[in-house]
Amino acid sequence: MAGRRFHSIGTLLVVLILTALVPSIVAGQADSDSFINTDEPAWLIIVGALVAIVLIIVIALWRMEGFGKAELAHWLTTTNHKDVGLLYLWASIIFGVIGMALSILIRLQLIVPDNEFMTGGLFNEAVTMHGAVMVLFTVSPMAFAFANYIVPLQIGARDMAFPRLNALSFWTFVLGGLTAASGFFFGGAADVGWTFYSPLTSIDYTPGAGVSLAGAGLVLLILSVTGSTINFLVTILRHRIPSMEIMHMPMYTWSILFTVILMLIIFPALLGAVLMLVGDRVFGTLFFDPAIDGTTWWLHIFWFFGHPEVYVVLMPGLGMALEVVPTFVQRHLYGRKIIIWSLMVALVLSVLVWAHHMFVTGINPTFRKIETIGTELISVPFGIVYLCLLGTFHKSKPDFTKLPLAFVMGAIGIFLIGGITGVFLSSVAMDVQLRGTYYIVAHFHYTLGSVAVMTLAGIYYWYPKMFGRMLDRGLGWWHFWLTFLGINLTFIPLFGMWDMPRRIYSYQANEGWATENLFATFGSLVVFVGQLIFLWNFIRSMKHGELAGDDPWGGSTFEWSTSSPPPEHNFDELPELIS
Amino acid sequence: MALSSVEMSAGKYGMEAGGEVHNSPAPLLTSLAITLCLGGLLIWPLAVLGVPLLVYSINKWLREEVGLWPERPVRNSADWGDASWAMVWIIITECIIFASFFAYWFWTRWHTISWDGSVGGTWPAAGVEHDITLVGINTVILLSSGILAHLSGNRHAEGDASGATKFLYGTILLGGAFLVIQLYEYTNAGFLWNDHPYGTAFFSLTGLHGLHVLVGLIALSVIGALMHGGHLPSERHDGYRAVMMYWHFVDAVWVLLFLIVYLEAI
Repeated sequence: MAGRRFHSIGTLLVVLILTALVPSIVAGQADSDSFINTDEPAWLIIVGALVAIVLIIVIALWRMEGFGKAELAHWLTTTNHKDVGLLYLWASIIFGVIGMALSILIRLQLIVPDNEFMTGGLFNEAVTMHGAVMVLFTVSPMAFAFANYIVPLQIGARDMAFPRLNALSFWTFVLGGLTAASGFFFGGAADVGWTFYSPLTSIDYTPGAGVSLAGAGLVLLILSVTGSTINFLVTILRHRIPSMEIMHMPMYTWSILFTVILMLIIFPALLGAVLMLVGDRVFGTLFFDPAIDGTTWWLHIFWFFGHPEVYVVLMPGLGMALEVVPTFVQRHLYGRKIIIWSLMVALVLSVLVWAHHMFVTGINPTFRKIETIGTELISVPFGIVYLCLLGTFHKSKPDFTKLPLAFVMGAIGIFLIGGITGVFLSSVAMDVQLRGTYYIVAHFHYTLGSVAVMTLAGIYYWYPKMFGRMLDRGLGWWHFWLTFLGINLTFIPLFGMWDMPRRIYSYQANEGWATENLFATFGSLVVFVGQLIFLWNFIRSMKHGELAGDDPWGGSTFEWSTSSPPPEHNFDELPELIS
Repeated sequence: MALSSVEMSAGKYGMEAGGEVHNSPAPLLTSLAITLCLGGLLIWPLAVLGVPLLVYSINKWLREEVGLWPERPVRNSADWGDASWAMVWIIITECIIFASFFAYWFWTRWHTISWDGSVGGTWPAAGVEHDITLVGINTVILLSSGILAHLSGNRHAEGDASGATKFLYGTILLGGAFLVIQLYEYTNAGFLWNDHPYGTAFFSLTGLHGLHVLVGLIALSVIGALMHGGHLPSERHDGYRAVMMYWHFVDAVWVLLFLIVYLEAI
């Protein structure tokens, strides 16, 4: 059915993309002479990452039996929530490869003192795009991948409330990511840090196309997120099977509900900020004019988004952990209602404490105290959730041989370190000393690292549902240990470098940072190898994995009551809630 | 959520009830068009491709939607469906976008004259005078359009299609007049957005609102076209109500904007 349409749509698309790209490439080259600077060895890795991405796509398509024009047309036009979920999964994996390649570049540059692997300019681009790609285009879309696939199944719905809006969100997200990353080829990507601090981002100090392209990419991402947010809110609140009261919803669905509510509140503020930034750069408005302290204005509006974004990233991973643990310890989640209420409290607190990113900017001292107390308060609800999660293990016989549970255990450990080191940073006195150092870098990579590991637990948990086959266990254990040990090997040395400023591209031998940096780079390569094994496992198991059956884990939520993978309409017979 | 479960048992699961999934190129084309339009701000030839593609793809999208409607459940015109609830969330999002620009307004004002006017700058900026009579008339026009929108919605819910259409056209006409008068006000303002931060705050706030009026007018026109084609009986009041809610929101923002931006300048 879709195949006949392919010719007209495909031809139109190819023509459009080519006509769009050619003038922009020409314009980009005219802007700058640094189109691709082949003198720098680092470019080999960027080009290598691109080749790797093409290879991933080709291999993945090749693994799908009989992939032809009709299938291509199907994936370009699909509106089914499960297909869109898989598209999100592939897209976030690809953006993840880009983000990881950039992090390897950063670590390789810092491996020894006085390294000349990259120039300072390219290093700045790599740092900026690593942050932006990982936070905005990898981790959140990975959450949307599972949310799209799993949430309608968990609440017994046939699809999302607005399937086409869902597809629109996906394509807008992809094009947004490509627009932001395209700066690499149009005279240099954004190189101002992922926080885009003013006045560095003004057209006077950063004249290239990179920042404007990143702004355009962000606008597209925000449109996409807003569409998804509305879609999930209507779906979760109105399309549950009638017998499912809101307090009976599975924890993963709860976590997605919290995530989208938070997104609904913070992403419009980011849209405001980005529109102002692009306005200043393109139309000459004066939003960030020094005369009205535009620098601090940017900090306020950006961190009003930026701080809760951390919880946007955290919530879905937490939901996965809260789903995985009860399944594998074969007990009900301890304190389910307490967890839900704690997360609500955390949600409210999270939008009130943005200014703890601004302790050294000369804001009102009373305001600083309020923000310190608020930030310390946030650790209370998360502490409660953490203890409830651990309480679930009480008097149980957990099956630690199962990979999803292993990943959650790893995440629990990593999150503990990230959380405890964060408590110190909420104190103004400590923050003034530690801000802008590698201590901060280590802290937030520990929190986000635990999110990434929880997300991996989710992949191991739901892969059988998505593809009908299990991921290989042997490769999975290699992946687990390399990831877990690699993360610690990378970031524990960084805590020791609490006197090394972040974002510097080189340092001298007599600073005494050489050993720590060497270990950190080694650790990052270990993580990298682990993820390569995972990718191979992911692609290989689609065809050669052990058959999974409907419910390989003994899970109790609705997605396990249908076949693996589920039929197009999800359920042949709608499930009923038995409490 | 008692209401939603009653409604759900009546009109099961919306559009995919038949189990058939409909593929469509419209979402991909629309997002491509949006990207090209946005890219057009940086490299203008992209907009030349983007705008026609946007019109084409949205038109295609709407036609396909209308084609799917016979499969979808109808509901009592008083019931709130997915579209109306989605509009509630959209309006919350919009509130925060406007809040960020209002916040900038107060930030700029604070850094120009402080809260109590003690710092010594002038607010509004020196030489700025608003034609308050003109803006007052424009306010009356926009609020009247809101009343007409309300009447139109009521008529539509009652099943009076011709009455609803009449009031709808009245709404569009007054909304269009509002935009024209605002453009006239802009061209006679005597200052620009890049003259001083006051200009930036003024033009961004009123311009953002004007953009919303424009989007509202497009949505109202789409409703008008659907009414003209007879696609919107009162059993499909849900989408009609959603568009009217949006228009009321645009009105309400203007009241706030009038109070904050213009009244101080008198």
